[in-house]
Amino acid sequence: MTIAWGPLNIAYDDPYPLEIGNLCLNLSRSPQEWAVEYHYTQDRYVTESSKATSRIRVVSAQTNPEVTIIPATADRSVVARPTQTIQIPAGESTTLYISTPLWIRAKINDQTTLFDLPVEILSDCWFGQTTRKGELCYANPTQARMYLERLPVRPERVVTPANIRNEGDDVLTLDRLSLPLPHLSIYKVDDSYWTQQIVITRTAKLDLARLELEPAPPQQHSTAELITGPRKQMDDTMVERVLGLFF
Amino acid sequence: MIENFEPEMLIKALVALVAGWLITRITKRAIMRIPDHNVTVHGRTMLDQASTFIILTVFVFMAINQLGFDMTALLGAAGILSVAVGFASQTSASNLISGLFLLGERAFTVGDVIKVGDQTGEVLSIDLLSVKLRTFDNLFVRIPNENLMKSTVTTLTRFPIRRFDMKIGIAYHEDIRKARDVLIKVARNFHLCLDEPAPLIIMQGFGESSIDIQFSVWGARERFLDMRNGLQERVKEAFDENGIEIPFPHRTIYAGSKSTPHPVKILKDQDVN
Repeated sequence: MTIAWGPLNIAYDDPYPLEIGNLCLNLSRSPQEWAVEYHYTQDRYVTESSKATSRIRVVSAQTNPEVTIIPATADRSVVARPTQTIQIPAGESTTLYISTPLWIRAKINDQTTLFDLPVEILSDCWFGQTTRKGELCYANPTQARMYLERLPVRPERVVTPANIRNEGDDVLTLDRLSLPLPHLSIYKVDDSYWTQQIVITRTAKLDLARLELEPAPPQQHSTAELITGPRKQMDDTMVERVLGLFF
Repeated sequence: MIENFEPEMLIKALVALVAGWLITRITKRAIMRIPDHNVTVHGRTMLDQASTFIILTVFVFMAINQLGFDMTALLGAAGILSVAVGFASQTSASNLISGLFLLGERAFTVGDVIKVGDQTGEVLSIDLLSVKLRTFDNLFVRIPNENLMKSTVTTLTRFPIRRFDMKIGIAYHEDIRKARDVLIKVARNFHLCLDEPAPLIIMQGFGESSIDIQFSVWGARERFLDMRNGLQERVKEAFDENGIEIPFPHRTIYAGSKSTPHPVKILKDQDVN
């Protein structure tokens, strides 16, 4: 289903259905209330007992018909785990294309968020060197494709090109990669969604890695159209960190 | 003690008190403006209380001095009084000193959930004499600091993730590998179970009635209870689906010799009556 992003008007008692990925959602408006009903289908995390429809209600003195629906990146970093371990020799670099599920966000009055939901449920995952220090992320198994032409077009997912450079002295074993998705923007290219490219360089100092975000748009698509900005701004502490906080 | 009292002295004393009060207010506002990432809730409260106490004490002494009281005599009297009070309030003093140690240790802070003995609850305040908790059944519990110093305190909300150790038994005739695979699949298919650190299965040994297994799964602190409840529900469902038996306690009765059957006598109704 192709979704018309941006502002749209919803009349009273004329619900707006939305189906993307595993998310089935129904948005309706009455004079004093916005109501959202949603559930997930065909998801490995959905069990018989958890198929129940969830509801969100937002009330106001007088509802405005305009609602803005936009795609968004995940609200936490996502740990992408290639189905097979990848080894990058010293001095080499590679670009992996990693897709992650989109989040759908709706706003009313430009400030009140009506909903902010993933199109599929992701498992929680801890990413850190110890169980005391680290970050709560989502887990996302990935094929980590290296060839653009083999990348399937999936309108419910967003693709992040990750350029990984090994400037260390030995082989870099890549069995997982933390993608800082809340800090990335979303661009639309035809029917697919992209974030800007991230560049992670393992520096000659063995335990450090550097993160850089390429300026938009992604290298491969100069005609890409910016749809959504990042959820959070990068801070200086994220630029150079210990290797274990990226891989 | 008072030499040549004049109305001017009273005015000076009042000015000192008002100045002290004003400085306390200004300091309090400055403390409230410290950004949240630089100070904890508890740290802010302590800073506020300490600054108020010190500033007011100094200005009250100044006011007393302005009134013409001899401070040396007052301090001497206060010293004798403090010794007397000290003897009379040993428990309070012990709590006070324990409180200072607790503050220094920073084992927990306001808002943390702690477990002390059989009490578990959210810390409402850490005061000089006691710590106040709100238990999950909404009771207010006051624990003297001395007790806290002597007992084991577990802070449940210190780290962002927690492990749930589920003890489960399977019947002796069951395939252990199959049970292991089913458990791992349950954790993989439950989004509140962390993918990493990976779930862990520890064989606890051969129990009286079952093969005992520990199934350890990690979850985010905020949704730990949901994870714990959901996991047990899913394990039961998965075992039922796969025909894996969770046995009841078994008792085998021997009649003295392990190869001889236990003698059974059938009674008729008239024999019983």
